[in-house]
Amino acid sequence: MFSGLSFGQYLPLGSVVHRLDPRTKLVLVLAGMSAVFLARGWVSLVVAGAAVMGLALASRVGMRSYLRGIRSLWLLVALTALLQMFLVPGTRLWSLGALAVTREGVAMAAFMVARLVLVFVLAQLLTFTTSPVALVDGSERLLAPLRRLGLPAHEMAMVMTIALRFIPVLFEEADKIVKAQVSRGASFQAGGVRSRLQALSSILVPLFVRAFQRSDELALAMEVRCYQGGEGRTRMNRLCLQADDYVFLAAAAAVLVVVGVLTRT
Amino acid sequence: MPIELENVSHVYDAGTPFAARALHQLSCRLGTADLTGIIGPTGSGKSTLLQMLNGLLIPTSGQVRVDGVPTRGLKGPALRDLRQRVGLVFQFPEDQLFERTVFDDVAFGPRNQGLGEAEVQERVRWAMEAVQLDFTAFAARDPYSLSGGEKRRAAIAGALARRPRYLLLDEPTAGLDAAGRLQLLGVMRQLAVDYGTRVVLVSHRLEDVVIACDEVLVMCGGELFMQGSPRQILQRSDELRSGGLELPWFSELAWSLKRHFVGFRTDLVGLEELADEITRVVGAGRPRPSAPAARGEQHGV
Ligand SMILES: Nc1ncnc2c1ncn2[C@@H]1O[C@H](COP(=O)(O)OP(=O)(O)OP(=O)(O)O)[C@@H](O)[C@H]1O
Ligand SMILES: [Mg+2]
Repeated sequence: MFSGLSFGQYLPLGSVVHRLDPRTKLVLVLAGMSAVFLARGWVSLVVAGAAVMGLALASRVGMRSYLRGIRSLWLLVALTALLQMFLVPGTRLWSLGALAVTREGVAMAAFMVARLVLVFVLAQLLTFTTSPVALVDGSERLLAPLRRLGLPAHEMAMVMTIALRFIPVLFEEADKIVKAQVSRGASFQAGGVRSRLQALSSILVPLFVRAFQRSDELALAMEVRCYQGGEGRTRMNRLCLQADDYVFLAAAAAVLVVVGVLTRT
Repeated sequence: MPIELENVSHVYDAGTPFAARALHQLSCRLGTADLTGIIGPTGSGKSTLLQMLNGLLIPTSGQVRVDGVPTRGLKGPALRDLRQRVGLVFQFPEDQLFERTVFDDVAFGPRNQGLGEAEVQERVRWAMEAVQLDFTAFAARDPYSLSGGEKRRAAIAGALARRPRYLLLDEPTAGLDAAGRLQLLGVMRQLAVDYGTRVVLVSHRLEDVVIACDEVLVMCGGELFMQGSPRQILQRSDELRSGGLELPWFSELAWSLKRHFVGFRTDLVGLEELADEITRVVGAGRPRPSAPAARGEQHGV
């Protein structure tokens, strides 16, 4: 009934991209997003887009999975396109009362949609190819220098890991509660808005109760194992950049430079 | 008309890299006997099978029919009718209790049936007594504060209170003590006699199933491995062991006695029958000792 398999769940496929260091992937995605947003005009966007698509192909995830993720955000894409079409001033193509679609608007809409799609692809690329634990590990290491400024990098990373870990658990819990209720005659499809809202709250209340119970249990389990924050902790998997990482980082730098130069001229 | 399964296969998360096969080409009839037991090792698809029977899961291929009505594509009142016909108690009672008090939780089902509050109260009382949860002591308790065995009883009461025609129980005896297990199995038999309820129960313990049930299904790796009466099943001890199941102690004993006594019966169910057979074979011709000694000590049945 519910499925956690929607936007960018980790798919352990073992491609080149999967094997990259999580820090490299974080930097690649940030660089890719910067390139996409830096791009002014189609030429630079095509360069950035080609780089992003190349990366997506190398991940071996399959375009269908990426498209499925983008489809779940279609409303945002459609809204962006509509706003651009109507709000950008220029030569009228077609009008609806006081509103008018302009030639420049349509071009702008296409440009913005292409950008959005590329950003979604990048975001999914990161989560498709990187396990949540590796992702958090990577961001902890990237943020580590900021510890000197008093940023609790380890604690932030731990909070993120736990949150990510519990998303599928919450989906499962919700599924169980729904199953328990429909098995005893509850109905979530029938009835008006009011009874549907009531049915929804009858799921949400026990869901919250269980989430709090779980967090209590987790806190206890962590304390029992003497967890006391990042101070003096060592790690089992040390991150280490490989040749592949340097190749991908160099390529990303090159793309950024090219896009930067193209937008200048 | 019972519940019929025809070539039922089920794959979880089909079409994704997480696809997991749970049932494979399963065909059988359930609910022909008063009490049907399903047993099989961990991961053999028992819980998946039960969830097929009340339409919580729809098979990836094949057909499930309850009293002749296919579960696929049911909507609205027809689906509600199926869930009324087939009551389900989940494997983990925690998955099933969601209201703030035991009373409200047990009353959830009858209230959805549209019964008046007086009748709901009466149903709740009856269901709680049936599973030996004292109404005055437990009605106002928070389900999460109950002990494991009490949660199990409350969960069963929740399904009972709807008076379903078929009652499916997933591992109902797990977490209960010996007396509690016997008492619960007694309640299931009573339901069948009093209300004609067809009970289907899943268990890890072959012992409980052969003693309590009239019909036994053995599952293995998502497939139906055997189906028959308890006596027929116990005759196939080698196959049961190869399927990863442990024989009840009285069958183990019967099979090893068979090695020493030609013609020793192995289709014995329970201590009484074993004792009688031992007396017949070993003690033939000898005078019976005084009655209490012959009964021996009750082993943990
Ligand atoms: N929600 C689910 N998502 C994915 N796979 C599942 C799910 N539920 C069960 N499975 C898989 O399906 C198979 C059968 O599971 P099922 O729960 O039916 O077994 P079972 O016989 O009830 O086991 P047990 O005796 O341990 O309760 C298992 O391999 C399990 O991992
Ligand atoms: Mg199970």
